[in-house]
Amino acid sequence: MEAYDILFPIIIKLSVKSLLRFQSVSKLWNAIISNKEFRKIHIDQSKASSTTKFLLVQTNDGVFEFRDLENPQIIMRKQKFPLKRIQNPIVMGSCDSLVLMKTCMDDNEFVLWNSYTNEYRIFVCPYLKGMSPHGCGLSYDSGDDMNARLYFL
Amino acid sequence: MMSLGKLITLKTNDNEEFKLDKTVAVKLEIIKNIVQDVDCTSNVIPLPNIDGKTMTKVVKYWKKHSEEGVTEVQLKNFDQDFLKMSHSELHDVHLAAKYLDDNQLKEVIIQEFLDRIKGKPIEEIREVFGIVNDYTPEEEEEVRRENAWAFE
Repeated sequence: MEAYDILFPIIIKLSVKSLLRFQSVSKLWNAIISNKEFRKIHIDQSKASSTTKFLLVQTNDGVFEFRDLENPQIIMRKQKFPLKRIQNPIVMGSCDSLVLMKTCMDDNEFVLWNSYTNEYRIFVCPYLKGMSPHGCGLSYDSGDDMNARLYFL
Repeated sequence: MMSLGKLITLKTNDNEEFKLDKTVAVKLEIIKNIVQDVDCTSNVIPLPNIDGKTMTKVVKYWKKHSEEGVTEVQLKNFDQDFLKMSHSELHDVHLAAKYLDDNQLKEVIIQEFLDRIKGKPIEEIREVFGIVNDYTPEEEEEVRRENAWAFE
């Protein structure tokens, strides 16, 4: 596919925000950008080229601020969790753009949110059986932008 | 041993010929490979995927960048000027650089494309890449809605 060969090296360098916006350029662009393999390469490349570490700050009005860890006064990004039902979730951990949160209403309900793509998954931890976890952690699993390893204690 | 001053002739698909100093030409992988296989000084290397208009630009770039004693500032100014071309011309040079396996030129072109599309409205992006919008208005609205925050 010639068009793909030409486009690929260009759009692989775009930011996630630009990529999401450019999905509406055409069906081909949408297909390239949504492609799992493309997303994987994009994640790996941006991780390799970016040295900025984020400090995640949750404000009272439910806004998440991603601040530069070295210069915390600089807000790199501001974002609200998209689901209205969950307005003030408790953050259990974060890793790059992924945030693991707990909803206030149900102790065993967790939310994994990719703040870059604004995708989220709501799930119930099968091990806790209604108990609150003592601690949570997550690490990044390359290969999928919504794929993380979650740890519950 | 490579001798200086030898000329290599490159011939485009519209039969335009470019005589290049061998030291300039063999910087390119694809030409180096052909030159290694045969003694090409008397022969012509055909470039079936590139036309004369595009090759003129590529050769201009090569010559400037292999000039002796050329300064960084001069090259920067040259590049700036060099990149002042239409979107479709930029595409042609990109394709040529890709075919010739010239990574430096390829990178310069890719960066120019990025500069041309960064922060621009979708309609302008389509223009840069000569894309016809194949979404129905409803479909496009749907895709935009899904990523509404990215348009803020």
